[in-house]
Amino acid sequence: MSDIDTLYARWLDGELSAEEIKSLKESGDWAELEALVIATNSLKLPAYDKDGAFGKLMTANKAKTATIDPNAHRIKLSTILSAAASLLLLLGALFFLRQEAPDATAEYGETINYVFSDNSKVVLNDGSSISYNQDKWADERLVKLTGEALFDVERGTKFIVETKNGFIEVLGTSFNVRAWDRNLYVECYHGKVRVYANGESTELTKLRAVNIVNGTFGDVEEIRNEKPQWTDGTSGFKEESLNSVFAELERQYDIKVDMPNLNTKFTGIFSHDDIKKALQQVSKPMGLKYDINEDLDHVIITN
Amino acid sequence: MSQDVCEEKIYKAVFLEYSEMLRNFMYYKIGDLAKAEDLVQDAFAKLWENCSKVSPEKSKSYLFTIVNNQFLNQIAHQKVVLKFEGLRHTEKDVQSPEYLLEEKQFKQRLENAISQLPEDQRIVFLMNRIDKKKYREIAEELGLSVKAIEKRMHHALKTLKKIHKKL
Repeated sequence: MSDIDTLYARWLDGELSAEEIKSLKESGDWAELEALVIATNSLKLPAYDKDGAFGKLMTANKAKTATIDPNAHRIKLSTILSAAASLLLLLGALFFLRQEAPDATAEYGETINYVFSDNSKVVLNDGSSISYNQDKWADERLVKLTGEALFDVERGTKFIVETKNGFIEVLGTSFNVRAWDRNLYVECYHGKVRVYANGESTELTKLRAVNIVNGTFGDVEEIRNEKPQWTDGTSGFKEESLNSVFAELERQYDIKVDMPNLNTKFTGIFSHDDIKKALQQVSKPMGLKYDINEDLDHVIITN
Repeated sequence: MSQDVCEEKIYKAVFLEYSEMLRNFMYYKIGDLAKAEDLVQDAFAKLWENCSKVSPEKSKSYLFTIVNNQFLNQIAHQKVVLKFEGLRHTEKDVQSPEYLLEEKQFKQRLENAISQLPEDQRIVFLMNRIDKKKYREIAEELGLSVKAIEKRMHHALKTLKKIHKKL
């Protein structure tokens, strides 16, 4: 093997000096190698329809992500929280892992109360949505959230709320999370939570908060507020009898509500600014229907 | 704000940038164009699944790793027969029937010769000749040193030169 050979290799990388090229051309192998290079210069593969391929790819991607597989996200967490009581979490995430067909969406200007099969509940703030895999709910309660929401979690297997910026594992009772853009801001109001982002995690206890910017954890700091601002202008209930909820509605809107005697509990909120919206927020998750007169002062609830 | 592969716009840009070179790479490796294109689709589907974990800058090496692994998982090594377009005997524009026949035979022989190169040499040779890549780029994509690429190229040329002599 001569130096000439490696010269050829380097020649094809376009890294030879003029002198080296000259010595190359004087070598005995030049004719054959040049012919080879010429022959392969215009070598091509059949055309590739990139746009067509991309179209197919996106169709497949979207079909696939319509149903969420929690295992695809490789979350392996211990089941510390089996002892946890029913808890209240507030979560927010403006951006989310991916656009998926959500299981519940609050359109702009509305707030949605949603009940999971295990009776865990979520209140979605406007413009927010959640998606989760119903089939796997019994094994792993993994909820993906876009926007902002209030969770009330029943005792059971681990409960995880995933956002684009990180995810939150429920350890104790209640906490508040806000994920804005690249930031993940978690406030713990009661009990304990563990926040994961970028391969790291930190535990928060009562009235402690942490801010994570672009995956970098800031110091744990103290908080003073008792609840997030977006719940202002609403009435919130936790396991409250429907009678009390509608009584509160009557007070707030100065209306009369007729309802059957229902022995069910309500967890969620209703807004103070729009009677129809408020009625929707209470009746929909409970499977009830409402009828309101034109003067908006008399409501009839049916199931 | 940095860009995110979860955004379809960015994801598409990554696809348009790398899909063809990945497809070519897999073709050099397995010699089956349809299969190569399928593997590229699969690799990009994986990227979409993990879009929050892979930055656009890391996407290229991520994709190369994925297509390689998928290949290992799916296909046993088999004899590769590569076909190309645009292979020319000389740069002259000759159209005589004799010449065309000669060119056809030449093309077949060269295709065979390239197909018979050991896989690592073949891939490097074609990434340079078809995709017009610098060794530095190939080295980065295959996770090798530039010297290693130069060496493979050198062996490929040596082998092809012998074959070409017989043509």
